[in-house]
Amino acid sequence: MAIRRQQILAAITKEFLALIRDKEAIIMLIVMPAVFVLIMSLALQNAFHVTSVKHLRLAILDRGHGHLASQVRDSLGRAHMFKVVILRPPAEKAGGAMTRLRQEVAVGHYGLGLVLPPGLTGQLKRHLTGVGKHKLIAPLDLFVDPALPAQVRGAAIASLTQTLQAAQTAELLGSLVQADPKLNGEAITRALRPVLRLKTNTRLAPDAPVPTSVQQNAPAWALLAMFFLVIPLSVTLVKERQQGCLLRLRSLPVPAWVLLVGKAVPYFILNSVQLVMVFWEGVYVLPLLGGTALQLGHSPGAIVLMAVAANSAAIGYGLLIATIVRTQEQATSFGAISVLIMAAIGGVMVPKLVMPLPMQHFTRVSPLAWGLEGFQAIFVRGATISGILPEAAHLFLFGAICAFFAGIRFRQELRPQDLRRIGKMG
Amino acid sequence: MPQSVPTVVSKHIPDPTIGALEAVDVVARYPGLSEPAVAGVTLTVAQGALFGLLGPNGAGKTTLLSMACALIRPSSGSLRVLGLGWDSDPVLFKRSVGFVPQGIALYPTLTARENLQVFGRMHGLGGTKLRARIDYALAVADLREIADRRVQTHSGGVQRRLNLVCALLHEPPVLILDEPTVGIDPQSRNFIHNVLRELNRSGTTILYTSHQLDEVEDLCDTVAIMDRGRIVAHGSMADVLSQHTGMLELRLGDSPPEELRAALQALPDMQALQVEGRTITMRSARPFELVAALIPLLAARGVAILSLSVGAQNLEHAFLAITGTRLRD
Repeated sequence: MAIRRQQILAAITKEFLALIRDKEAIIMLIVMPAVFVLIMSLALQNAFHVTSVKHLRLAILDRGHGHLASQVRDSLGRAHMFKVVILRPPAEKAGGAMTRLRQEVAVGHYGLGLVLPPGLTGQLKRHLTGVGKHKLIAPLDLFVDPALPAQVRGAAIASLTQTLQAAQTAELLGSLVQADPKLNGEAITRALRPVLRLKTNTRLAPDAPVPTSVQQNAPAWALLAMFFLVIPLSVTLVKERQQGCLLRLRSLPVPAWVLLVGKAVPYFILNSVQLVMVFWEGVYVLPLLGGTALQLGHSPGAIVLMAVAANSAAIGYGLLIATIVRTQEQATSFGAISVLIMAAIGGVMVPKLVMPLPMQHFTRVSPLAWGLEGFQAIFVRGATISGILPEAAHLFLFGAICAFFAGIRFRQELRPQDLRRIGKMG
Repeated sequence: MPQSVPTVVSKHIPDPTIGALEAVDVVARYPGLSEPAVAGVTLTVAQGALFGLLGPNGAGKTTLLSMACALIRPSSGSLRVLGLGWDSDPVLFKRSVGFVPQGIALYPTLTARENLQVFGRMHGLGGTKLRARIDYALAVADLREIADRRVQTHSGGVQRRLNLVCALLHEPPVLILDEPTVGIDPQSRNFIHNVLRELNRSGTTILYTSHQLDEVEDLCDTVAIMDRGRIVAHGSMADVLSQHTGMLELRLGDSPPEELRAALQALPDMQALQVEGRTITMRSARPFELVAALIPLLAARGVAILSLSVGAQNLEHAFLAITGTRLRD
């Protein structure tokens, strides 16, 4: 027992000292995720508030010089989403203006370009009152900057469509009042105002925090960084092989599990420190930089459980890869690529909801998805320990399976080797 | 660096009835190779010996030593250290052996003391015993002054000394060293040899491999030469040297003409011939008959002889006589 204690102490000490003296690994594992969370949370802050897009430049080419363009501008201007510019070229230059508008939108000078054709106001009036020759109104040309993000594009088009419908309704109202002076125009206007509105509730649990970009980014990037330990962890084992230390260790009466525990403990501590740093940064530093503060929910026990579970999964995976790879190149390339694939599948980089349906089902195979779902359940849905047990169990099981196979492989490596498995020694 | 080496603390009392290393018909066969790396080696190294294992590259030395350190498993045959097989008691087997690998097997970002602490604890040492053994190891390697510097900042000689003493922490009765003096200066080599002699005097059995034959000749009392996986010579240093009297070395005043080489090769008693500059090395089952034949040959061509020696003058001669001069893979 005393011998085992000394061996475990030695295994942890050498790993810990090697790790803290490897500045690159420390930077990668602690500083990198902290910076990443900061940048991504601030950069993607508006991704969770699409309607807060401000001053998107919209050019309205009013070829008919009617009042509809002004009506649209006034209506859109109130929402502050658009900065509206009305272009009213002389009639003889209207064709060229349309081409020019198309080009200017194409190069990003305007985000959107709406073309109101000549006679549109009259056409609309005839359509609504049935007076005069009825003609189907052609769809209005809308040029869209191809670089506009899909979410912003969708929100802008929806807003524009809503505004045009409101303009159509206002036109109808004007026509009705004009046709029957007995009608109370003011009453009709009031009646047509939208009174059935939506009040969006995203806080479905009592005192649950509002979902923000930092709620998504902090756990997502922290989990990614946790799994990135696979690189330094496997590199240390590769180096031990290359330096001959593993050869010496193989000649000593030390079991494989002791050496694996020695590797796991320092990385468990490092990952825990890293997670605390990332969450601390989200809570205290991000607001100082104009971002939204990370809200950690109301269950510290659940956070600890998820942290330990995610850490176990990451370390188990790291140990397995460490016992498989044979060169530093394999460790860095395979380690990084496999973790990035798990992160991409797991919704760390691309939210699960924007993935195609089959892909959304596929996210279930990624431990990063379990970790992310668990943390988001705590942070956004206000879940407690019972609410995240399935995710935590998945992570523990994944870590245990990986560690089990790592143990088998490493035990084989430490035992006197069967010559059929190894190369010529000389 | 001090010229003396601290006296070794522990004494091992050699038991002459049990070999330090006993190999019986040991075979080690790598996949894809037609010939085994170790082809039925039977060898006993007595306890308390300072034993040199020699052989050209690929002769099977490292494979044999790796089996003695329980790093690889023999394909067949049995191999015991102090009467213990690896299968019977792996822990005791490994505690009996101290292994000094060919490469510097140290953690470069750890200090010398930290390396000793790690490897000492891996042997289960702790507390005052560990501290005492570390102090002893640092003293033996003359590293007390620089014990707290990282290994990566030390010279090759210092690293080699530390590499050696890391294997002494658990006081092994058998110490196996695989080319422990590669790439170091003569002072460090001499220091390491003195440590090994001192350890051997205290009863530690030393198994030593090296390509530096003068080192082995100077250090070891017993020697075995391996070639193509087999032991081709084994015994005390004097025995091995005396067994190879068929060596002739001829030093000429000028480089020999090509035509002379052909003429020498054609002599009836010539078994092997090597010409290097003005030195001709020959092997023959009847060396004196060969001398009688080659003297007139040289005289007829007016070639001046600077010296002529018969018999192995040193271990290198014996080694070349036994293993030949052909380059190995």
